[in-house]
Amino acid sequence: MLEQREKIATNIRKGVLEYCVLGSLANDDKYGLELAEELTKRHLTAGEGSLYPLLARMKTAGLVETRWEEGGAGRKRKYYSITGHGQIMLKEFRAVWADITEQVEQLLGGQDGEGS
Amino acid sequence: MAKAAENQSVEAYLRSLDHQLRNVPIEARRELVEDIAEHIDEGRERGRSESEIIAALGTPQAVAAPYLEDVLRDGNSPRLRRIRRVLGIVALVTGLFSAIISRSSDSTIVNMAFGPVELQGLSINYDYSDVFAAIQLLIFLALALMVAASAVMKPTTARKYSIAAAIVMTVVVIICGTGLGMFFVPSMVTAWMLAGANNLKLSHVGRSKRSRTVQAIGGVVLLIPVLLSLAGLATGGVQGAGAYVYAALGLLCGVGFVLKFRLALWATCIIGAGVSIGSILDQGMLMAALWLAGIAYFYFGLYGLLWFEKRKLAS
Repeated sequence: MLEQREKIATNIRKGVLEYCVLGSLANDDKYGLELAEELTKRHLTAGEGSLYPLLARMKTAGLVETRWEEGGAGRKRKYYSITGHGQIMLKEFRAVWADITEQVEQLLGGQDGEGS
Repeated sequence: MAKAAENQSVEAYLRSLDHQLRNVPIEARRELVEDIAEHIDEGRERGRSESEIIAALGTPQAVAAPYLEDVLRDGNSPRLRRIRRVLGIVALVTGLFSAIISRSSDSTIVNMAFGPVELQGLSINYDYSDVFAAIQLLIFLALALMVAASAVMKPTTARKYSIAAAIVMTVVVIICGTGLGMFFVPSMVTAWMLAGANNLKLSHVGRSKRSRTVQAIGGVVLLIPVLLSLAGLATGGVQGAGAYVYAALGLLCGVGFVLKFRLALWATCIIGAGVSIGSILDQGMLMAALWLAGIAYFYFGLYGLLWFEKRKLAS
């Protein structure tokens, strides 16, 4: 049962993780580990490592940009911030997400959950 | 001691990740490994243990997976599929063509320096020659099929296979020498082009850089003979209508090639094929030179048609 839940969650996360990253960056610029910890805490990503290929792809797509800043121990940190294009995409996603969750709620809401 | 062991596991993790990314464009590969290394460093500073960090990261395979999917999709992109298909067909056609024409040149048999001694240089002995001809034809066809096969393989399998096939063809050309080996040259060039198409390690930037290199080499190869013949015409050292026709066509092809005009690329390709075929039909003293020159024209034209960015996009 748990395994199936994990499978369902993984499938859904795949589509929304990108926008969760955008949503998180919309509040505040963050460096990799900060983002990873936040998403892991919220159970939005299974492995922290898979965040980095996603961030690289989002950078190529112009959704986020990076800059280097002094971090702890005199080391440079790579900070991610959301771009204008990223803001637009996030807004689009919000509309789509609101619609989907509403429809899904309506469809499933009336049925009795079997519980687990 | 425990510290050393942990360090080793971080190192092993990063090395394993790097290995997983071996087919990924170099900049992306380096960047991802650096990001993960930084992630581990930051985690350490927060007081997380290394095994904890690594467990949270997920396996190197899982981290690399999105990139590998990208690479696979790149190899399966419509444009690349088309390029591979065209090269596969070229491999079959040139292989078949070479197989047939290699029989038309008696000298190739006399020049044979390998195989059973009693079969060498036996163009006089028709019985043996026929047997030998059939074997030779089969060898050519088998090699052409070997080269073409990578065009229909899965991209991941085609990677190593196409390089192996190209190396085999190169060895065949070297072993057969200037006689018979000459007829294997088209298959060899096609094999290397397929190997290139199947091994897109280079990033997009790297790919256009390679295109520019071929463009420069092709321009030099195509234009230098033209300039020589023009000089010959100017000084009167070369005469005849043929020289003028050659100089005009060569100049158009060469300049068009450098400027990446599709029409000129097609012309280069077709003229190259024509010259090669012509050199076989009308075997003169310059047969080998014309054959190889035709091949050069054909393949530079083909490369341009397949790989050069469209002019509109480039500008």
